[in-house]
Amino acid sequence: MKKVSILVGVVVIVFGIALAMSFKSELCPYVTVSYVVSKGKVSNVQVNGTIVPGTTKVLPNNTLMFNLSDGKTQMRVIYHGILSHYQEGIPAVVVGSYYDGLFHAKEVLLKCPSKYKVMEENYSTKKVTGKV
Amino acid sequence: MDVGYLFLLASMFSLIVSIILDFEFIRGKKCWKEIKYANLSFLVFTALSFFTLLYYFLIRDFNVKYVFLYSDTHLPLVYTISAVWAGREGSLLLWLLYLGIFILISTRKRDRISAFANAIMCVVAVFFNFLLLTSSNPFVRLNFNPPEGWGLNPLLRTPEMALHPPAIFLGYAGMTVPFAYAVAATYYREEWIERARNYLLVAWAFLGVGILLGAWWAYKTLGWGGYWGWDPVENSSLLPWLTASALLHGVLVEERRGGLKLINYILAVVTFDLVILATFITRSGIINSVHAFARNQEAYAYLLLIGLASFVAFVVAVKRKDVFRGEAHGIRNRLIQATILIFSLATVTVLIGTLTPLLMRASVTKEFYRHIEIPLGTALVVLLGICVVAIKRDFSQRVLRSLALGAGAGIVCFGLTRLALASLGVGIFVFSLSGIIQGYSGRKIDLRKAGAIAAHLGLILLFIGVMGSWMYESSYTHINLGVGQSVKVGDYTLKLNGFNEVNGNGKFYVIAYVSVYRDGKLIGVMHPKLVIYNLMRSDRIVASVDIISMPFQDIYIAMGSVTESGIASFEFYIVPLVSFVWIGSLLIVAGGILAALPEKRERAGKSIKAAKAGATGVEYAEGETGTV
Repeated sequence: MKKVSILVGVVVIVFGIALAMSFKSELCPYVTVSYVVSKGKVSNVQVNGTIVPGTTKVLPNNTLMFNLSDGKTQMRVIYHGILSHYQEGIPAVVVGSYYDGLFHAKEVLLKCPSKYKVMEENYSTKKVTGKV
Repeated sequence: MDVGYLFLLASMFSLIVSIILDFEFIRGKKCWKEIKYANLSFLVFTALSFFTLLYYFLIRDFNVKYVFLYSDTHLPLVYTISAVWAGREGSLLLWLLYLGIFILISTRKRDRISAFANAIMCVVAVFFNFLLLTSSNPFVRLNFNPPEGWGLNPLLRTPEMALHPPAIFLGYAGMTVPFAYAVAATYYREEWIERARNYLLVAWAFLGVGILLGAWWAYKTLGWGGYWGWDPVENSSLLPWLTASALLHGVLVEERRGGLKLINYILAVVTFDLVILATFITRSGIINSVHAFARNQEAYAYLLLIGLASFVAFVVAVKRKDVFRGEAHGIRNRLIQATILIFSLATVTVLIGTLTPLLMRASVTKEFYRHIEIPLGTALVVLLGICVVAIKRDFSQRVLRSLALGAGAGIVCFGLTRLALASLGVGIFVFSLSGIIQGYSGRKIDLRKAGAIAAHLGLILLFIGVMGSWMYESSYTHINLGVGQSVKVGDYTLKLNGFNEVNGNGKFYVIAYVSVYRDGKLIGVMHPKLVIYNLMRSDRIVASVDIISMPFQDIYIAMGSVTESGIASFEFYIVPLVSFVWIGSLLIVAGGILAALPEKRERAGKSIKAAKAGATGVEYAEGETGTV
């Protein structure tokens, strides 16, 4: 019995350490645009904001650039991939890292205001719009 | 006041009567029949309320806010019916309806344990009924008559999403039964497993069906080439499934050896808590919008129910700690304990990841789950290969034989493919398969064993499928094609032949025709679509994917958008072994259902138990009035 308890204890401790390490490296905090810009270099964060009208630039090879604003500050976002519901002036969450004055988004979640409201009540939290 | 609401009130009244009668019965009053009538009345009124809501959907009474939000005049009949459970209010009503059925059929023995369990389940029902009467009332009316509904979310208009909530909620409601019996029977120092086992199996199987439907839907609908995104909503239904899986294994030890009683008790309670947590997460939108937590009054109600259930279970456990004595020895029981440990660790991991957005201003990425769950899943499959042979003689020899076979298969696979991880996976697969074959061959196979074989074969197929599809998926997400153009992606060549535009009932399709060639040979023409629904909603454009399934890989295409000049952007995925995921999951579910089927042996066992119980002075009676 004692041996078993020790074994279980060791397994749980090893597991706990692995869990904590993975958690720490894969944690993706929610931050504001102002925070990102003031830091200058941030990796693996989620930023909430609004796509600023008139700032969109579509580059070849499915690359998109736009400004994201939190009302105070703006930052330039670059994203490679398809965004089928893209629209200026709507709220968006971008996930990725900020460096060299650009936010490199791995993922862009677009939220049309009305859609968002109903989405909340609905079953799906998945957006068809942006993926890694 | 709406008639549906009145039915809910009557259902609430029946519940309260039933609870009072339960305690009268426990005190010695002969009122079993009355309890049954109260339960029946609760079920009938809940069903009437449910059908009233359904009726409003069918006559398209958009004056009812819930009907307005989830349907429109173009919605086909099938999806109009499924819209009843598309939102929070209707789902809770469905939960309550299922609970009514479970309460009626699960209290068959006329004794105080049944009465106490009946009371516990009725208290849970009171909770949901209370929510339906207050903050989640589905019968709220608007102060005007909209001519058209807001419309069901187009993403939910698939057979999978129509059936997913009924399956999931059946599983959720069913988990109330093991919880209630664990607490009630432990309180009277009796066994609970025999009474609850089949409900546990059925609930577990339906939870599995629901999860599978959700994964299949995500794969077919969301267009990212995957089926499991470790999304909080997906996770929340996986949590009780994991603990229930652990409980199913613990129950084996308790039935045969009388050990693990405390662990099983805890697992039954935690599974119920997780079911309530899951209902809360999926139906409150809490994870989507972190800030809603304070504003959502229901959040506290759910936490209160979880707290109350855990508290009552805790008090009963402390008062009756002598019941949990007894320990199971032997290598097989140790291995089953290890299985339970793995399931528990998997649960803790998913729980931490799921609750992170609620507890701190952050969330975890998919990689967090994969780093932890892949090793745990692998350990589980290896353990399975050892565990099923553990009751046989020559145990270590048999394990060595499996090991040799597994190593051989791994080496052959590496020689052929040069993929190290894939070869390791194949080796583990063969090791466990050999274990299952050796473990079950030559034994008498009854329905329970057949169920176990199916579920375990399912698990190893799921393992190989998940490994193939997660580690070796190829994705090509930046494909732009004009009509007549072609592009080479991996081993395949895609050619856009053209578009077609089709007008449907309340929607409009843009269909692309893409020919797929391999080595110059045409494999098929794929039809990814954009579906534009004629709705007020702004999320009315949905990409519809097309999949060609082959035995060992799927090719998968989604159309992102089409420009006015006729250039479409596509995402193309090659997903290996994904069919193993579906077959494996189906086998797991089928195993649960097989094991729950009634068997002759069980009836014989029951009469022996009854005779034993008669000797100890506990009252048992078979065949109650009017129940199944």
